[in-house]
Parts: sequence; C-alpha cells; structure tokens
Amino acid sequence: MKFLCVACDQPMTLQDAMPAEEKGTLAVVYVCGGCDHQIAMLTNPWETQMVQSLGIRIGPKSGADAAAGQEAGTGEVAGKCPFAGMVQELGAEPQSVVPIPDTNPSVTDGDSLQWTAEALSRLDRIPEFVRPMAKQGIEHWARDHGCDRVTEEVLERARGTMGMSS
Amino acid sequence: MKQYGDIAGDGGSDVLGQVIAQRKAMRESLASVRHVVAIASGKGGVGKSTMTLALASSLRDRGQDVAILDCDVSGPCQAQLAGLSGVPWIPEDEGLRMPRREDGLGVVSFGGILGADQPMLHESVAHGDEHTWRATREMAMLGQLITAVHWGDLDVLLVDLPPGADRTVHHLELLGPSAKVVLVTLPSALATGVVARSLAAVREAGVEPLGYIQNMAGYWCRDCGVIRPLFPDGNQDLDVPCLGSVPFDPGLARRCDDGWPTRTKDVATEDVTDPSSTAIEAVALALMTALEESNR
Repeated sequence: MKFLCVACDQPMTLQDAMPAEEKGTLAVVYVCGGCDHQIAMLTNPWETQMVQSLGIRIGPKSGADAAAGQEAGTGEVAGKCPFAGMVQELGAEPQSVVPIPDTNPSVTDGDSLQWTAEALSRLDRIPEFVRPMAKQGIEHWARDHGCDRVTEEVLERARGTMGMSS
Repeated sequence: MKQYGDIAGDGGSDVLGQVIAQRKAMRESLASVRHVVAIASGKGGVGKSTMTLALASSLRDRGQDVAILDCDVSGPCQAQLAGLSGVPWIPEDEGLRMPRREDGLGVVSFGGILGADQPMLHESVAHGDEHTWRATREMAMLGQLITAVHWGDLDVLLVDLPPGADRTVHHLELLGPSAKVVLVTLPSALATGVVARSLAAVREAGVEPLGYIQNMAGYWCRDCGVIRPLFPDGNQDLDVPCLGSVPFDPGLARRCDDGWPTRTKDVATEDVTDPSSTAIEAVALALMTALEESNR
C-alpha cells in the first residue's frame, strides 16, 4: 500500500504509529515531504489481522531478516505485533504502543516457567509463530523433570532425552 | 497524478520482498532433503497418517535417513504414533532440533508438544472471524516451522497432509515444485470417487502423483489366516500407478495406539511376516523405485 499526496503528486513517507482506542486497530501517520501535510491510515481489526497472518512486518526496515524469523532480541512481545518493526524503528516500546492481543496460535497452558536470559535468547531464534509452541513443549518437559525454571542446562538435558544423535 | 506503478517500493515495508524471503528461506531449509513426498488424500480416515509412519519406518529399516512432517495442524497424530509425545523442540545454532525415535526416524508434529486435550486455535484480533484467517495463519505457521527445523541431509521427508483436494494442492505449493505426492484411498467407490477429485486437482496444479496406496484392501483374519473383503465394491482403481494394497489388520491398529514399534522391538515381539507388514514393505520398495525413476 502506498500513499500519494495529490497536491504535490509525490509519495508520502511513514512518520508515526499510534494505537487506536479500539482493540486490534492502529493509526499509522504519513507525511508529505513537499507540503508537510499529514494523513492517518486507520486499520480495522481485519486489516491488522491480514498483515499479521502472513507473518510479516509493516515498517520502514522490516526486511528479509524479519521474514525469516531471524530478528534478534525481539522476544515474544514484539513478535506478536505486525507493526513491531515500524514501532521499534520509531524508538518506542512495542508493548506500550501497540496493545493488540496475542494472535499467535493459542497454546496457553497454565503459568509459564521462568527462563534465564541465555535460554531465552535461544528461544528468540525461533520464528514467532512457532516460538510459543516450542516454549510450551520445553516447559512441559521441564515440569515433568522437576525443573522450576528453564536454563541452558535444562535445554541440554532435554536435548539429551531425544535418544538419538542426528 | 502518479499511479501505483509510478512509485517505487510499497510504502516502506517491502511486503512482497518479505514474502519472497520467507519462501526462499523455506526452500533453503529443505535444500538438503533428497526427496520430499506428500502423503495425501481428498478423503479423511483412509489411513494417510498410518501409511506415512509405516512407510517411514520401512524406509528407515532399509537404511534411509527419513523424517516425517505432520502438516495436519488440526489433528496432529504423528508424534503419538511414533511414541514421541512430549519430546520438545530444542533451539540450536542450526535451527530446531528434530525429535528422533530410537531408530533415528525424525518426527516433527505439533501433536508432540500440544497436550492431548489442547486444540490448536488460531485466535484473531477480529474476534468471531477466526475462520477467515485459518488457512493463512496455518500456512504461515507451517512455512515458519519448515524454515525453523534443522532437517539435515535427509534421504526422504514424508509429509502427512490433512484431507481435502484443495488443501493437498495448497500444501504442495507450500512445499515447492520438487515435492512429490502419493495418494491414499480405500477400495470403495465412495472413497475412490473423492480421491479421484484430488487426483484431478493435483494434476491441474501440474503435479503428476507417483502413485496411490490402496489401504484397507480387505482385512486379515488372524484366526483364519486369510484376507477377506471389507468393501462390497471390490477393487476400485485410480488412473495412476498403484504402489500397493495394504489389508486392514488389528495388529496394525494396535501399533497405532501403542506407538509404532521400531524394527528391533518388532523382531523381538511380533511376527513381521503378517500380510499388512509384508504389503507395507512392498509399498516402500515401490515408492523408492518410483522416486528413483522420477529423478531420471
């Protein structure tokens, strides 16, 4: 989707993103570099969902890395929002700016275990749609084996139970 | 006034570039897999999952490095069939570590990490319209899963598909042009008619199936020692090579519930010369031959 300033006949550029009052909706502001005129694109929940369902990011620097799920350090919060790339580019906190609900496949199953930063960084390597399921599977295993938090050691132990080196 | 094509890019997000990158990453993830074979059928309940695991086990016994990808997101069962329920996916440098059975057979199935009473729900910000987004979410999630897993240098990746003619085509599109397909049917006019539509849909998409498996081709009575007919219509053929017919066998059904035994256990506890096991071995051999011929 592109935005054109009719008066100046030149493309507008992305300037800001704001949460709308209604859940699942967003206000994305564009500005014309010629006349400084601003417009806001207001997305309804369906439009927000359409983007999110593809597993892509809307924003100036959301490129191949994000598409391949290789973005580092975004964690789960950022991973839930299709506009996260754009919001991060603007220097804002994704969770405070875009409070749309978790639309990843639902795998909620009780309280999550604590994860150490090192273990969590390994989890962050997993693409966002698969991440919550992988997380749950590891937590199930950890609970079944008497672990009260997930550490690198727990991950290595879980790896060892697979019984076969690849 | 400028038109859409007059403006370079798409407003800054490069959505098309991201989608292309997603597909490229997925194809690269499967690049070292020699054969990707979808096990499909327009009809549910014909035994796709059972045939998938039985064939995978047989191919593994023949020394092939084999894995299964369970694409039936709504009803995943491969992890349970293979006895790998509860084995987590561990993130490593090269990707998610694939759960493997003792004999080395790899299985990637959502059923392995979801609880038995836990359905896969695709929640939506547009509440009440989850159904609208199911296919898109499901395909995006499968694409990410395929990309995330470190498959390694597999000889064969068998992909257990959900039922449906259109879904067969959609999954083949996802898996890419090098993916092959084997159809599974029953020897009834009803099932064969439905699977014939799948065959037509697959052909319309430009894919020629390797062949089909006729499952439940009679039942083997262990007391009588003979195979008796299950369906009154007798043989119903599809217009593709038949890779083999597998009779229904209560022993086969028990293996599905208890977890498919590895060859080691099989030899120790069961007669491997029963008709269903023999038939599966023959189908596996026919599949390998068809795969080799398709590469020529």
